[in-house]
Amino acid sequence: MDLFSNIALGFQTAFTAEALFYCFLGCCIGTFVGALPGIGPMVTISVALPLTFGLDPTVALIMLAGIFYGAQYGGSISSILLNLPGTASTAVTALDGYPLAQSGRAGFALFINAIASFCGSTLSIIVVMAFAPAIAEIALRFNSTEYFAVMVLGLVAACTIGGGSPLKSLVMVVFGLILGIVGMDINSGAMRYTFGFLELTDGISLISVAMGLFGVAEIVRKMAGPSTHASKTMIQDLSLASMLPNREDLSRLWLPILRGTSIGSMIGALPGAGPTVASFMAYAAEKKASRDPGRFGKGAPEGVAAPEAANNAAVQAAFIPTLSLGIPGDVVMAILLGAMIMHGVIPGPQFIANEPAMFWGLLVSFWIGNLILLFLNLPLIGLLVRIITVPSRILHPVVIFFICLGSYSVSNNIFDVFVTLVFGVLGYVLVRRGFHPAPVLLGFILGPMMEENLRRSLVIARGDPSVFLERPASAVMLGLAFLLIVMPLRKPALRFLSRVRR
Amino acid sequence: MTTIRNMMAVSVAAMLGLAGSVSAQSFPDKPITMIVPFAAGTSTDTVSRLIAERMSEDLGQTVVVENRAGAGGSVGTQDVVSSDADGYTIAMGTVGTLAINKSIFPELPYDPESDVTPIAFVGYTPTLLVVSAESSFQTLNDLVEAARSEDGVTFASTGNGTSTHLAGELLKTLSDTNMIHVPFGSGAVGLAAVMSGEVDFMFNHPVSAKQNVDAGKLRALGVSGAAGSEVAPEVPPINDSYEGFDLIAWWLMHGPADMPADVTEKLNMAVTNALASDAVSEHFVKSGISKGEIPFAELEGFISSEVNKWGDIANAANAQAN
Repeated sequence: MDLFSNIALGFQTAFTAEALFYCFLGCCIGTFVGALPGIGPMVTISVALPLTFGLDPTVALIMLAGIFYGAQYGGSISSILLNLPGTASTAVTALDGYPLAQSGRAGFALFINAIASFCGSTLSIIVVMAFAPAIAEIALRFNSTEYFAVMVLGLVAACTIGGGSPLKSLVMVVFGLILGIVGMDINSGAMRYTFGFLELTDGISLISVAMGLFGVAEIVRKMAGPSTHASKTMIQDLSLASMLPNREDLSRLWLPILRGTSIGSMIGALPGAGPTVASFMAYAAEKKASRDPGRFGKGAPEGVAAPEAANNAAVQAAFIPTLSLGIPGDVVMAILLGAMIMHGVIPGPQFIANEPAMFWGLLVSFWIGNLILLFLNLPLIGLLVRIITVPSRILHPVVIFFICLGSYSVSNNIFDVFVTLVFGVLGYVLVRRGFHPAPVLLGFILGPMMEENLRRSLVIARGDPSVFLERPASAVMLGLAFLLIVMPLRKPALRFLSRVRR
Repeated sequence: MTTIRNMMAVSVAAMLGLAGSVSAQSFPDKPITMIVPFAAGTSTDTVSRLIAERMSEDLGQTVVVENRAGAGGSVGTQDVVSSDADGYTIAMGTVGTLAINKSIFPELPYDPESDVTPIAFVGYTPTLLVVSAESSFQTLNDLVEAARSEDGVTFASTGNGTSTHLAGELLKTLSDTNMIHVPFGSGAVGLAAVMSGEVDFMFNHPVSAKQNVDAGKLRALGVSGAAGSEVAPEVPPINDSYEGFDLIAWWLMHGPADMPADVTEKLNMAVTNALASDAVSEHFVKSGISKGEIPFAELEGFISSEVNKWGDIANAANAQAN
């Protein structure tokens, strides 16, 4: 089992004209649907799935996977340019990407996005290639106790996201947690806050919350605000020189990219966590690590680089449990797994040994796909930036149309469209009152997972809460969360101590 | 809430009235919509798409598959049940949508016994009871003995009121032991927890479990169907030790109530032909699905008996939970 001969085998599979063509096609479709607010990779892959029946299984998967990671690139484009996250995992990119674009550096922000995404994916693919089976084993050792600890850490870190008052962020996290409760409780089967709507049994749709709070709210805000006829902020310097980061930028960005990649690869490999959680955690970590956290939320390049590296790394790492254990981490992975089974390939522990050409071919194609995406995205930046200059009377109705379409297509249900619009109104009210919607999204995603894992750990431990401190990984993470809470109290405490000593 | 239900009842009634008698001579003269009440990529979706493709060839009209997931399949099923009974809107029903949901969702807006016209039985699969390969339980008896202790044993499921949950509850009732339910949102994550030994056992679809059994990560201690599983013939049926443990997951094509008999017959033929095709047969073998041999005339009785069977299990489980 030589890594290099395996990679060579992968190149043989992925470098056929057919594979390259479908890889390119998948990446293009992915970027396109990713950039459209509301229509994400999940819907696209389910639509594209039956179209791939006639293809060779490897080629079909190369294309479907291309849609998945291509959408991560595309999703950040609309986040940065329009403050409308194309996919939930790129919502956090808007926090700093959009202010950058507003200050006339849209090209620069898109450039960082492309580079960070590429670096994150490439490094993560290398990790997958070298350690996939080992990582799968470690991820298995991650029990509900550890999941709970990670969620707590994530939520505590999240209170720093969004800038402004930490109290307001906290309120928004709690609001998100409450929204996450809606639906049937999987432990007792009790309906919580469904008000008799069968459609709410599985909870509020993530797409509806994200698109409503970010997308619809942003458009309402723009329409309610003073009309800006090509205001100064809209004029962008489109020369290549203005986009390229200078040496100072680069030296400041490589660490955030590396940190984002490590967080992304770790979170992505855990079944159930996914790229959205990874991007939020990377952003929070970056803000903590920064010497000047005040810049975040106002157009800090690190605020784009870290979460983008993280969500792309997570997307690649998510293939680890799917391919090596047959355990899909999220809905999109479940659809890809379904696609494999439909093509007669059953992923699992024997998959790598039984289908080496397919496994290594897929991994190599991921890397080729990311290279394609990089070269697809860079030349397009100049063109994309012009989206900002499209008159709002044309742009806004089009965006609202796509948001409605996207909400509908998740489960082909009109109910979700109304939910999206309700959240749009709510999001507008929140923004007007100075509350940022990003922590809502995190609370909404992490809340149900945290509750599930808390209750699960307690059931398995027969009701003994000391289990959270007995398991080392969980104890360390809960300790970190505790530190994050008491750290701000450090300086006043030291001052107090020195006074006492004197 | 009452108003909503009343409105639903009125609209259902109105639609049924509109349906009337549609001439079936020319059926089908436009595309047919097959609602799959689960997400794309699920086993129900895979089976439906394969069958829809063959049915399209057979009927000379496209059968369009539409995924409308939600509430354990109830949302999509309700949409079909309340649409015109002309054969142009049909659904892939499951053990969940046509049997279990009735006792799980107190506000289920349709009744699988009276609001449905069965078209054809599609197939069924028993599930495997698996434990981690590192577990000390070598046989079903080891597991049951361990479950007699005060701490009992834990079992994973895909959520409260799902077939995997109720299977565990039935084993608990029949063996009269202490088996603790640990619900997981997704079966995949639950299976991972069994592999790692966090949870003691789980009922899982044979195909995803089988590969891990063969790879030495899981051990299969029993199978849920009375006749065993074609995928894992060496695994003993639990029914041999605990009589009455005859649980299968099944698929059944259906439409709204009161479909014209000749339309139903045409659709039944199309499904039967699809099931006989190589593509579907191959997929069934690979996925561990067996073709059902339930005659058309007995379908309604089959649904009723399944509703009662799962209802009893659910009631017993609830009685113990309270």
